[in-house]
Amino acid sequence: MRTSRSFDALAGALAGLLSGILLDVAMTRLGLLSTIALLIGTDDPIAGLVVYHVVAALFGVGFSLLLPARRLGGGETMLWGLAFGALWWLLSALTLLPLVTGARPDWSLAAAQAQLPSLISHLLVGAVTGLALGTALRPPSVSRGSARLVAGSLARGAVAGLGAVPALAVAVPRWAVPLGLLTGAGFAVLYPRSPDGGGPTVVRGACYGFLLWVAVALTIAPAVGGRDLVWSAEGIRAGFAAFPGWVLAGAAVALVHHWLGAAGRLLFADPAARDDEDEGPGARGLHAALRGAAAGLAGVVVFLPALPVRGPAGLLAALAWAAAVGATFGLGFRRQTHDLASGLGWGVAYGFVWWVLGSLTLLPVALGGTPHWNAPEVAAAFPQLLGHLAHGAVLGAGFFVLQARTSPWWLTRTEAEATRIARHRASLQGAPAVWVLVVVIVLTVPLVLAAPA
Amino acid sequence: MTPGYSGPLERGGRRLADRALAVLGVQRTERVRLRTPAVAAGSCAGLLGGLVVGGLLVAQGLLAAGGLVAHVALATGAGALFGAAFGHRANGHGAIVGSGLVVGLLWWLVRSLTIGPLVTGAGAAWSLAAAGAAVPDLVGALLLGGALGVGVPVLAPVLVRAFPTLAEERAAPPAEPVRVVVVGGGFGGITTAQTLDRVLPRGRPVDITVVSASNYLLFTPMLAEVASSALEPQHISVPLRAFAPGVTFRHARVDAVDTAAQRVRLAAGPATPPEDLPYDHLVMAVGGIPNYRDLPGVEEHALTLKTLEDATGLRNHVISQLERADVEPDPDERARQLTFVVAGGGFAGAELIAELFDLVHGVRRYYRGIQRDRLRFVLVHSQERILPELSEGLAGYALRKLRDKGIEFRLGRRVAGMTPAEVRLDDGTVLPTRTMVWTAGNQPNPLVKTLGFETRSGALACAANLRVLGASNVWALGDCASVPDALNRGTYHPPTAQHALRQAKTLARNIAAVLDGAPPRPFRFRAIGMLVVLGHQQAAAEIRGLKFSGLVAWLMWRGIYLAKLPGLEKRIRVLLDWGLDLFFPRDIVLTQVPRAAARPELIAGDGAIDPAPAPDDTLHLAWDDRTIERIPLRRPRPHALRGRAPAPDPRPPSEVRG
Repeated sequence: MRTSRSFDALAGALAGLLSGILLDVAMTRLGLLSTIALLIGTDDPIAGLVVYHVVAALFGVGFSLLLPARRLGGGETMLWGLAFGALWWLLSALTLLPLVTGARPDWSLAAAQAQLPSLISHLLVGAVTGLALGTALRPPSVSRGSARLVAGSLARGAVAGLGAVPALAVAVPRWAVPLGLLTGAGFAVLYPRSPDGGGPTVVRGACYGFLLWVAVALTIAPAVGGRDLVWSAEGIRAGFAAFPGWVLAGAAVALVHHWLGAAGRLLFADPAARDDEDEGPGARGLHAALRGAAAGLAGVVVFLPALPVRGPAGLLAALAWAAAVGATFGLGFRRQTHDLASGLGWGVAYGFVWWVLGSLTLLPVALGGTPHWNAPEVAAAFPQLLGHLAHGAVLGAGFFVLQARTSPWWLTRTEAEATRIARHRASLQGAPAVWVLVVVIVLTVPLVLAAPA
Repeated sequence: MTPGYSGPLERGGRRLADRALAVLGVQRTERVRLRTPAVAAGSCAGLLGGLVVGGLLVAQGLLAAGGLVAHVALATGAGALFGAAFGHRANGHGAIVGSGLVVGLLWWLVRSLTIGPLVTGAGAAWSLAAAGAAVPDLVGALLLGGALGVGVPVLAPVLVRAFPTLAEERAAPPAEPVRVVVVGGGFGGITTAQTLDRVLPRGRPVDITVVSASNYLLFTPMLAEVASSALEPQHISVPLRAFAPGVTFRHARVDAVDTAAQRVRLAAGPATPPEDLPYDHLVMAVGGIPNYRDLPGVEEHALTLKTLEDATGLRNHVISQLERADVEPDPDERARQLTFVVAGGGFAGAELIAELFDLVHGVRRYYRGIQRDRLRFVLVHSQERILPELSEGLAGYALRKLRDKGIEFRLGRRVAGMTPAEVRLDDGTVLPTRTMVWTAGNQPNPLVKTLGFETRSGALACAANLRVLGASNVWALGDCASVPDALNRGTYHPPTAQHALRQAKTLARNIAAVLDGAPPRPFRFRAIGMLVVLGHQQAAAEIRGLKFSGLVAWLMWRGIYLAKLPGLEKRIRVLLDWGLDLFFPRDIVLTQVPRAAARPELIAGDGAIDPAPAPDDTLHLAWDDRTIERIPLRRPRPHALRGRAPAPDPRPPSEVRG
């Protein structure tokens, strides 16, 4: 145990160092190294660079020691890295750093907006650290090099990437196809085996899309084009139209990749390899959909302040939408909510995805317009984001309560049954990172779009 | 086994608390072990987090110093609630930290953007501008949520170590599970188990076991359609394990019940010895068996329609008769083969004779040696009108429709006896036939008489609350129970499926009530209605006094029973079967050599029927009175051949006859 903890710490330090080195250029161009040097009472960029690398290595060590589970795989560990980076930013940039430097903490919108570049650097450091550490600690089944598994996943990823092209065509018209393929391939490498459950996979995909937006649209594209990095609030706001596109592209890639994998398993996998899986959507799917629809309808009450269309027609449409969202939640998160925490977490995360898909995309198109993806339109749709989050919370909690009453799959009576569902519980280990990340994405929206008083 | 509660108020309070905790998926023992330290840890984390976050807000001028106390108090309460709701190790630390941030976000949404503005009369402030202005609150809420998420799992073990009584003082000793054994896997039994599993709080130590000789739930209303080859057998049967996944299932036959020792004796299986199953509450749902009224030859030679095996056996038998009649040179024998008799004019008999009619006429085109007018269908009924459960008008309608098809009725007549070649009626009439299906009487399963309790007409005498008279922990329902009708004094509920189904739900709730120390309630139910299908697109229905007939009633029958068929998968399969039946002929594949198609007779050397085995424990099987096979017997039972098909002879019939 001691050996593996030491190895984890060393791997974490190296992963952190790697992320620091990769971000050197960005930090230098943004002039953030001088700020970091304040930690040791100077504003020398060289000293800042050293401090930055030390902090990055320490970040990696801390992350590797606090990681809830080893051998989660590249995708899950990367999500934990992102969450860890975001949490660290929340704690350090807005509170601890001012306190250490003798300043007064400032949580105002203006101060938080000023720290947006720092947030992005924390996210990228976390992602790279997580990815590197996840690769170093990858599960034995993957590290044994199942080339066939990865090849199959890449093939699915390529198809899934094409499914993301429509979303990317709005965000990055000229590069939609190659970026779609790369997005699909990236997801396929991160998740050679698709995560359990369609719903969690979609939310993971949305988080993956958010990361790609940060990495590609805000960082790599300007760097390659020789422009300044757009990490400031104004810069991000100007290019905000790409945000929904990337989020939807990630979600689409994840969903198609998952479906193709599920279809492949259904058609070709040996039954013995599927014996610990669920009975299939036909067996309990209807019940799950009905429970989800009921919970979704209950959630309409909290969505009322954010109704986009007023009057009876708007209410009826909201009821139909809530039932549909609830039913899809029931189907997608059927074996994924086993306590109030997971119900709330997934519900809120699913609410965010539906804000991007429903309020920013489908609803405007259904009303005869184009997707509302640019900054002013997204700002106008902000109340609906809050409505979706509140609705998602009631939906998730309500679905859990209904499930607990009638078919609590997590309460087992035999050892064999407990072993069978252990895999589902294990897959929840990466779930909290997703919830944290969704919270951070939600926090980002007002930070980017709101105007300081 | 019932917990000893002291009074109704406390009992009600505990039940309410149990229900609330069950809704959250929390066991009582788990609550004590996990939630109490978690609440304490949450309070501490809330207190500390509230102090830090409140202090930072004060430092920024966002909170008045006087408001700090209220802020900390609020944070402490929120921490306690957080600990109560999420526990401290249900999901590991990572999960609870994630939950802390989610709760922080929701708390900001509720407090800063909704309740706060509403209290000041401004209305919910869900705009971007309001959210921007409330960003400091959001940062504070996220930090507080994160503090709770980190603090609860870290502080809870510390508190437990420092104050061991925190986890132990209130810990109730782990209760022995209450064992509820349900004997019988029919609709009554499995619905009882399923309902009990649902109404009892999850995690409550109750072990519900269903014992059944078959591992599936049979949807009997569609059994006649299986016999007529319209439906596949497995499509109307649902595996009990899948139907009630929360219930323990034992695939076994019950030999005896010892009510004094509270044990159920399971019969030995092929590879298992007999076994005793202890119980605290016993539910008898063993149903009924055919009652042949000791009529000579009927039990030996008549077919029944109670199980899937019966249905497939009957189908094979009928098709086998057609196969033989197609090439039978003897006109008398052919008449026997083409005559199909059903004894009993109730629902089962009327539906079955119509289905047999449809089956035979539906496949007759394949048997070119059989003329239509040689086919004969006879229904024997002891009363002057069939379907006594229906009103006279509808029963008359059904009789007319069946007669119009060409079905003969012998009303006011009883079957007096049967041989392999004929059925005798009580007026001396002889119906030459190889086929008679007995639906003319059922009786409760004889097992109930061995319990030693009072019986009425062979069924366990029960109180209106379904508890067996003279017992405190034995319950009964369905065909094996005689339950007084609480709505009509002096009468008893009829042994129908719709009554058994409702009885099961009441019985389950009554057991749950007794476990909670509450009194059981009487079973009250009025029959909703009756539906009988009369073959192709014809039916009669009477629902709450409204009468339907013809195509409308037939569509109602299909719609209602399809909805009642358990499981979406089975519904889809049956629907597909019905759809395919519109476009394709019925199947005439013989899946086994039917026991009655070439019914072997037990004969002694002189040819007389002798059910006793020969001295050398050998059965002499006579095939068509000419060829005799000798089969060694393991157990000298008179009806050893019932239910077992002899191995098919690879030689064609002519060779067998030799």
